[in-house]
Amino acid sequence: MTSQNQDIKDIVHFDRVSLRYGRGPEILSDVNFTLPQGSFTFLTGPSGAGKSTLLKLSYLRLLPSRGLINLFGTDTSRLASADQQALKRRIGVVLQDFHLIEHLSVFENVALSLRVAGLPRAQYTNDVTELLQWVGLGHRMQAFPPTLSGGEKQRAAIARAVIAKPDLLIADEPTGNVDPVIGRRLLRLFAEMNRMGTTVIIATHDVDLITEIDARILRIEDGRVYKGLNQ
Amino acid sequence: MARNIQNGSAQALLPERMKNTRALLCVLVIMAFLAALSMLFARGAARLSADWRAQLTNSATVQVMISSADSRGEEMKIAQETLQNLLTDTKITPLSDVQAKNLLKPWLGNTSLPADLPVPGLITLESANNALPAAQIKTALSAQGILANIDDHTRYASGLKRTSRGLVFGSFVILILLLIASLAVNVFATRASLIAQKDIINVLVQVGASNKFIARLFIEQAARRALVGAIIGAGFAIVTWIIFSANPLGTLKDSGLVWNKLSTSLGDTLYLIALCLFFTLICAMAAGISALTQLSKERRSL
Repeated sequence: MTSQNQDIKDIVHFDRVSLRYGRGPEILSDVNFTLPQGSFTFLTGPSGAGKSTLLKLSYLRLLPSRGLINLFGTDTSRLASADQQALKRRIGVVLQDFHLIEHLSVFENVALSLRVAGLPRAQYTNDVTELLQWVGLGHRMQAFPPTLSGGEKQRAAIARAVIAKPDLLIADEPTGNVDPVIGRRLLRLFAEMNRMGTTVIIATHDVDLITEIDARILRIEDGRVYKGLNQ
Repeated sequence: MARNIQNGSAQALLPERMKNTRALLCVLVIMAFLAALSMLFARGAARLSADWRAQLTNSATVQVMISSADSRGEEMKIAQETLQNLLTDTKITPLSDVQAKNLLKPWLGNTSLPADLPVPGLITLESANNALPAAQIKTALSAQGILANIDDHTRYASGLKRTSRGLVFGSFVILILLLIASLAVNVFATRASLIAQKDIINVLVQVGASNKFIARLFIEQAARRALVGAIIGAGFAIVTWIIFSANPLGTLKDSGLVWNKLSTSLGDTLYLIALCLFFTLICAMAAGISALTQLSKERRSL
């Protein structure tokens, strides 16, 4: 399916997508799924099943070996570099290992996407400050990542992903390093963003988290994607 | 706190202090130092040569071929008067017979010369500003029945000009080579920096930074580094040149003319500023092109 006949309301559409590294075995095989606009989806499955890889394909960190990926109704296989970056600016990503820039303060890390988008500092200072206070990092705005705990890093990474109010939010184990109270608070943030129109997909092992919200569930096993927890 | 942050300036996206930054800065300082020194040398050599040539072409020696020892005084007088009429703003100095003979000593030694040796009468001409018209002088003397040769130093002046052009060209070639080397250094440094800062670049790419945006960071970093290197290097070059011009060892004590012309001028300072800016531009360009090429390659190989 190509962007010409793809329903634009599908924010993400995987059409028989496969991925292998070099000549190795396929990590993902003939994956088909869609993320409708405004949906909230949990991606679950055992460790090593390919959850992170599938997410990497979704935010264009990897390109598939076979198949087509449509993002926001655009066939990503034919995208020029500039268009690819324009698409990426519509996606917020929270990664397992945070990927915070160590020589930048928490404030600067969170403001990164806005700065890259060319917004003047005065325009985003209040938003960033407010969001950092909301995720419980109001007192750590000037701190640098090496001095943060795992949970604080996680929250900073989440704040960075959501600050630009992305159309699609992709999170890989976003609550893995935080206590249950903060975890639920972060989940509420994702849900709030979803209510405001952001499509959300969260990869997680955490069954408690999955049951907190009435959301679609995709399960990945042996490189294939299934709907629901037990199919 | 928000007000503090709002009033503060944004932090540099690329770390300023990296492991090899000092070594790279050191290399750039040396490059800039050598480039500035070769430029100062080229300009000094050109200035010196122009001054020497001006002095040579503004002076000449008239050799009056004396027909007989008896008429020597008469012929020298006619020649002097003719020259005075022709060259109104020129200092005309006839050399005595003894002075003329003394000039032969370097070739003939201190042996006493025979009295009837036909030594030509010599008259030196020194003009304040103008080159002397050798052909015109010869014609005017000839019209008065005086046979004379005019040595207007053209032979030496053209040789000097060739030498000075060679020196300037050589310095220019060295300057170009140094700038190319600086360019290469920055290409390698940028590639190394791209590898060292891969994590940061990945984050920037992830938040939607374009290749141009990322390349601009490397350009700014390289430009800052190159400007600092160029200023330090050029500063050292000026100090070296001034010390060299002051001739502290006194090895060229009597060559005041040489050192006065070699010392720096306002023009040199302007040239040095231009060199610093050009050096910065070259380094920034090298970083930008290298970063863009590398980033595009990485995007293609995704």
